[in-house]
Order: sequence, then structure tokens, then C-alpha cells
Amino acid sequence: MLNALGLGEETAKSLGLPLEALKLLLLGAASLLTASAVAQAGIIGFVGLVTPHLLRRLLGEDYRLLLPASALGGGALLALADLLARTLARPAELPVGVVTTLLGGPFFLYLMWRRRGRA
Amino acid sequence: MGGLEARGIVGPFALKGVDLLLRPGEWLALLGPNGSGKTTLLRVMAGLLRPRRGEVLLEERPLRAYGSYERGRLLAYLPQNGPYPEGLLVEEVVRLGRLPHLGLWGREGGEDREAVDWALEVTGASAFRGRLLGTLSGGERQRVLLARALAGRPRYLLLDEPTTFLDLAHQGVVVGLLRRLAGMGLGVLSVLHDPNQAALAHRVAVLEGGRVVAEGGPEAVLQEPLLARLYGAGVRVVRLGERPHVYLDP
Repeated sequence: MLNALGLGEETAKSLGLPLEALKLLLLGAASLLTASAVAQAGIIGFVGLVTPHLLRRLLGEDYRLLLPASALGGGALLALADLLARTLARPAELPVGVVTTLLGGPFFLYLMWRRRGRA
Repeated sequence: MGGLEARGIVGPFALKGVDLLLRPGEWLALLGPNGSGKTTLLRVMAGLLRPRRGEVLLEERPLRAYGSYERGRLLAYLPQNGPYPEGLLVEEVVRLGRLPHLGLWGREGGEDREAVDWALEVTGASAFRGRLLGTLSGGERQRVLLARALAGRPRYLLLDEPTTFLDLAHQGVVVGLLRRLAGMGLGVLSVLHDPNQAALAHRVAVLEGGRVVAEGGPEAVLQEPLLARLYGAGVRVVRLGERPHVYLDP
């Protein structure tokens, strides 16, 4: 059903999807998941922004694959960032948010540049 | 079967009292200048917009009385130039057309797979079923989106300018397909810009200022005085055999 939203809201509605309820449900679920992750780990930027975009380029747009892959990929990216944060400036430890920003910032700029190029 | 019927549709936007009947097994082309209300009427008849006054009847029952999935099984709608998921495989895109039959949690069965195969076959899109939608040409993509609309095995197909941005060869493919689909018993309603494509339809309805000002067979409707009024004095109509042919002589 998430894939159907890729055809545009009008087409999704013409296929019978209860669009408004669906949007509310997805927004609510995303908010709750984000809130619980932040409550556990604190604010670590760019993980949620970079991972799905990166994986979409690798795996395509099928949300049945992309959603679980993003969850796994986000965890893996964070584990890698944590490893780098603990080892790069040994014996000191960098805040993990600095590493994710270093990884995610350039990628985000690349995405923005690509989008502008397409427009 | 009563067909898909618009009765006294007033509003939204440009529509000022439209009556129109689409019968099963016919291709009805909707012509008219920009801003005459063609797309709005199509969206009202697809149940995507609610009219201020009047009613749409689907097989003699008000369209708003249908559940959304039930409506989706009977009516398929293809917007002009809508977004499309570039990163999905063609087959996955076409399978989305089965949603009205499956709902949110339904599991796909043999009938669903057959319908997808049929839709790919009839639109000539089988050859690229394993490719990503974003890698296809405009003409190929339009055939896939049409296959998506057909995969639900609808009784009525509503299309908004299905030939825009296509080269002549692909326009011919799509137009030929619409005729064939009507021949299979579907009611096909398409908004068109090109009167020469409309000339190939079974019937033509012309919208002007939110009203149907002419309706009937192409040879009766596509007459020089009407077209000159709609599109300007330079429009000429000649007959090629039975069929009217429209060209510009500015």
C-alpha cells in the first residue's frame, strides 16, 4: 500500500485506499518510533535521513523491502559510527553525533545538489 | 447495465450543469479547449471530486453509495502526468492495480496473477515486466501505467490525456488500445486534446465553458463551425473516407 502512494494521491485514492486514515496512521507510527528511539539513544542526527535515501538507491522503491532494510541499515550505520567515534581519536572518544554528521552531511548536500540539478 | 452517468453536475470549478453517459463497450472522447472543465468532469466521474450539485450514477446506483474498494474494482482512473515510482519494477507497478481486490491485508492469489499477466499482455508491456519503471521511455511507461489501470479488471476506464508527450507511433499504440479495450466490453472515457484522435472514438462529447455543447458520433460532432468557435477561425475539417480530419490553416 505504501508503494501505491508512489503513484500519487489521486491514483491511490482511485484504487480505494483510505488515504486520510492511512496518512494519519503512518504519521503517528513514524512519530512514535522516532520518539522512542530518541528517548533511548538521545539526538543523533542524519541516521534517519541518510539511510533510507542510500538504500533506495541500492534496492529500489519497493517499501516491503525498503522499510525493514532501512531499520537494519540504520542500526548498522549507527554501530559503524559508534565504532569510529570510539577509535578515531583514541584514547579520547568523539560524540557519535559528530561522526554521523560527518558521514551524513556531505551525503545530504549531494542529495540537495542532485535534486536541484533535476529541477 | 446502466453505464457511468453524470447527471446535472454543477461545480466544482468550471462545471455548470453536465449530463454525460458512458456506456459499456464504447470509447467516448471528451474534447474541449483548456479550462472547459474536462479534467474536473473526469475526476468527478471517477469519484475523486464531489460535485456541488448533481450526481454520478454507476450502473444506476449513486457513486457515493459505493465503498472505496468496490468503486476501485469497477472504475480505473489514469491521471495525466501523475507521479510514478521510478524505482519499482514494472510488474510491481502493475500489481498495484489489484489493490481494490486485495485491500490492505489481502494475499495475492492465482486470479490476481492472471489479471496482471493479462494486463501486461494486452498493453504489450510483457517484454519489460522485469525492468525498473524509471528506465523505460515515455511511451513504454504509459503502457505500463495503462496496464496498472487494467490489472483491476475494471468495467470503466477513465483516462486524462493518455497520449500527451508521446510520439506519433506511441500515440497510435495507445489510441488503438483504447478501441480494442472498448471492443472487449469496457467503457472507456478519455480526455483528449487532438480532435483527430477523438475522430477514432465511437462517440465524442465537447465541453465548452463547463457544459456539454455537442455530443454524438465523430462525423456529426467534428464540424468546422463548432471547432472554429472552440479553437479559432483557422481550423479546417476535411473528410478522409467516413472520418473527419482536422487541421490548422492559420
